Amino acid sequence: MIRAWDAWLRVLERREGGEALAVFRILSGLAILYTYIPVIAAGLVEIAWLDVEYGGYRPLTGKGSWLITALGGLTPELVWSLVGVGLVSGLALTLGVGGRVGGRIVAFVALQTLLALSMINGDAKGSYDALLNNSLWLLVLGDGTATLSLDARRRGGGWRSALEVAAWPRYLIIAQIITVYASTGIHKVSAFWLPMGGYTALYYILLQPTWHRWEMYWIAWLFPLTQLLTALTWIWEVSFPLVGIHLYLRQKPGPRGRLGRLLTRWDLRTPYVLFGVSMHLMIFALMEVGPFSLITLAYYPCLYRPEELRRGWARLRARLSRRPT
Amino acid sequence: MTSASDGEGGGERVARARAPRRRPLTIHLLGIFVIYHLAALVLQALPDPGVGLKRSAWQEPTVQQEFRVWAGFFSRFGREVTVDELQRRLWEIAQAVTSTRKALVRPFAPYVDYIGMRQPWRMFVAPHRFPTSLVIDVREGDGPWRTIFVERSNEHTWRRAIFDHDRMRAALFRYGWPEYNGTYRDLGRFIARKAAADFPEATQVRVRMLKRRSPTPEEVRAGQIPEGDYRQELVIALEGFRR
Repeated sequence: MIRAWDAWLRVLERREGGEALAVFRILSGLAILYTYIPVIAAGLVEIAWLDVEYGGYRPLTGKGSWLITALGGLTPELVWSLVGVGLVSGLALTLGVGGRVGGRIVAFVALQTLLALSMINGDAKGSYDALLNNSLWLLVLGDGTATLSLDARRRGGGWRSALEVAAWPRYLIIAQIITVYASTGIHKVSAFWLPMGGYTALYYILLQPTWHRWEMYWIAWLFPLTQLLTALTWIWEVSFPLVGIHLYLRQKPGPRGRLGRLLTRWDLRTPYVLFGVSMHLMIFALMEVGPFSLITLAYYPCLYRPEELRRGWARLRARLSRRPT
Repeated sequence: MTSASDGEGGGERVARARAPRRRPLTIHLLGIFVIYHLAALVLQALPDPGVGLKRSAWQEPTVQQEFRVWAGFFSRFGREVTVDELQRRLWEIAQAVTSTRKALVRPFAPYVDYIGMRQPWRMFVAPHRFPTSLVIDVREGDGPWRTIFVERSNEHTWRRAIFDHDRMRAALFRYGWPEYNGTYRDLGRFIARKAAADFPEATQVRVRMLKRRSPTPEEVRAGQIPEGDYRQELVIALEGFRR
C-alpha cells in the first residue's frame, strides 16, 4: 500500500515542458470567444439568459449558478457584466496573461462566468458548455501560461519558454477526453448504432433539421458510407480508453504480457487521432453544434508529450520550408 | 508523430528513488485530490437513465420504434419478448440504476455545483426518426395564414438569427417533446411579442411543430419525402402584445 502510494506520488511529481498545456489553453480561450460572440451577434443574450420581464423567452427567475444567487439574481446588468467578463477572460486566456498564479485566476474567472451563464437556461445549453467548463477547471489545475504566452514574453523576451510545469494536469486532460468518448459511446444504446438497426444512426441524425446546416437528403446516395461511419464511430468511441491503456503501458517500466506488447506495438494514438480529427471536422462542416468541435480538438495535443509536439512542429516547419514556391 | 518506443515518461524528470521517502503534506493532499477528481469524473460520466425516465417521452414514436427493434432482437434468443414486457423491465432497471447512480455521485455534488464538473455526454444517443421543425404563421383578421418562419428554410426566414443559433436549436429540439409543453407555450408568447412588433397589421400568430418521419434512403432516392403533420398548435391573438 505504501509502495503504491509512493508510486502514485512519483507520477504526480513529474515535470515536463509546457507546450501541450499552452496549446490547450489557447484553443480553449478561442472556444470561449466562439461561445460568446455568436450569442451576442444573434441578439440572444437577453432572449436566452434573461427572464421574460427583461426580454427573455421563458421565465427564469431564481435560475443560474451559486454565483448568480450570490450576486443578487438575474438582471440585465449582471448578465451583460458576466458576458463582458467572459469575453475578456477568454481573450486573456488565449494570449496567456497572468503567469503561474494569475493565469489560473483568469481560467477560474472564465470558468465561473461560463458556469453561471450556461446554468441559467437549461434548455438552451449544449454539451460543449460542460466540456468547456471542464477544460477551464483543468487550466486552473495546470499552468497553461508557461510558454506560448504573453507571460513567457514578459519573462524572457520570447513567446516560447523552457519553463517546466507539472505533468499531472495533462494526464487529467487525457482522462477527461477518454471519459467523454467512452461515456458517449456507452450512452449510444439506440439500436440504430448497432447491427440490428442497420447502422443507420448517422444517416438519420444528419437528416434531423435541428442540427444540420443545410438540407441533407443528398446523403441518401451515400447511404453505405454513412453505415460504415456509424459502425466506425461507435467502435472508436467505446474503444477510446485503449489510448489511455496504451499510454499507461508505454511509460510503465518492466516486462509486458502478450496483450501489453500488442497494445504498445504501434502508436495507437495515430489512428484514433486521425479518425477523431476527421470526425470533428465533418461535424463542423455539416452540423451547427457551436464550438463543440474546437473544444474537443483542444484536448488532442495533450495526448502527446511536449517534446513530441516540439519534434512534430519542427518536422512540419522543415517540410513547409522545403516546399517549392 | 513518434515511435512506439518513446515512453510516456521518456523525456520527463522522474523522481528516481524507488524507496518510499518523506514528502511534504501538500503532495499527499494533491494525491488525494487527484483521486477524488478521477472518481468524480468517472462516476459522473456513468449513464443516467433518470434523464429520459418519463412515460410521456417513452410513448413518442421514435422511442417506440427503438423498443420494437430491441424486442425483436431479444426475441431471437428462444423466447418472445413483447414491447410491453421490454418497457416494463427497462423501466424497473432504469429506476434501480438511477437511484444507485444518485447515491454514488452524492459525495461529488459540491464539486459539480461549484466547479462545474458535470459529465453529461449523452450526445446523439439515438437518431430522432420523427423530428420536429418549428413553423410560424401570421394573419390579418380572417385572412389566410402567411408563413413567416420554417426551421432551416431559406424561404421563410423571419428572425432566423435567433432560431438558427445552436442554443435555440437545442431548445427547439427539446420543445418537440411532450414534457416540455409548458416551456413551449412560453416560447409561443415570446414569438407573439416579437411578431406583434414586426407585423403591425397582423392580428394572430400561429406557432406549430411539423412532425415528420425521416425518409429512408430508398424513399429519398424515389423522391417520396413523407408529408408529416402539424402538432402542438398555438394560435395567439397579438392585440394584447402591443400594449
